[in-house]
Amino acid sequence: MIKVDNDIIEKCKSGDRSAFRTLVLAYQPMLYSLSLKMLCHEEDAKDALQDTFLKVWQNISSFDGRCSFSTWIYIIASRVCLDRLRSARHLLPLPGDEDTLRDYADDTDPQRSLESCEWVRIARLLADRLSAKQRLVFTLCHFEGLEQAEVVQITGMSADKVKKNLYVARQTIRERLKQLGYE
Amino acid sequence: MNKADRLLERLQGQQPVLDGAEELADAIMARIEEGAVQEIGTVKSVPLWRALLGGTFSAAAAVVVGLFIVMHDAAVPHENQVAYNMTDNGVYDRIKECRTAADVYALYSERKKSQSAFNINFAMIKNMYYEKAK
Repeated sequence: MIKVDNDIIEKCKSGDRSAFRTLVLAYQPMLYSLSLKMLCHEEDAKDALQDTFLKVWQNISSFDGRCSFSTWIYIIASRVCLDRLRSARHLLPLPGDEDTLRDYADDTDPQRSLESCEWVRIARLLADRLSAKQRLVFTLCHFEGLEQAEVVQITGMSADKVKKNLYVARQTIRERLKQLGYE
Repeated sequence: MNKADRLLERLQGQQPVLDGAEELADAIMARIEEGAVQEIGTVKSVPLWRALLGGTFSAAAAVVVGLFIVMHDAAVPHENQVAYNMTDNGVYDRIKECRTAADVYALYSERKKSQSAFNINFAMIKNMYYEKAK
């Protein structure tokens, strides 16, 4: 979890743009990761990232510290992603997506990191049959590795709903992987 | 652990590599600097023609509703008129003209008779039905 000094947040609240740039650089990878896995499109993810930071800039004065800054910024990013998912056309998996997943699964290097385009293909393949909320919960809990309590805060769902969405998403993805020959 | 679970475990916590992080940060800052911060998720300004059209329709609707109320109000009889009708076409005027108790009784009988013409019960309907059948 990224942590930024309260001083920087306070400076941003008073309109310090250079402090905000520091904030952008600190949180950019975290939010890009979420946007890319949710939207399965590089350019859409970058646009969502810009929208998120603009909203953060516009509303930073309302941040009262009741939750951590990371949680607060995740709340904004997840809403932007859900809004975009609602208005975007459904992205269907492409034939090459399975090859990317197979290459990654066959790679024995445990340190191998995925490029953005590879993440797009894998996320598109796995999350194809998930609803927007299931996709969000799965991405936050599983891909981003957040605690369920934090996911409850971010999504605004009850703990039971988060658990249910996560369970259904896991089962759906396992089923999908089973169909693709991963048993 | 099967292949699927192993694969999902490997994907856990992995972050994609963001190319051009500095450029992206510059683009975000440029949008802020320019002051071209669009109101994302807020109400967009309404074009003038739309506002005028909306205003015209609202005014027309208000006139129609007003006319309806005025016309409906005229159709309702005046309070005194209602009271007059309730007294069986001015029965009190006729009571004033009565001199004796017999006159009042005659008026009462007449009124009773006229009212009973409109009181119809099941037995009467049955009789009328059988008379018609004959």
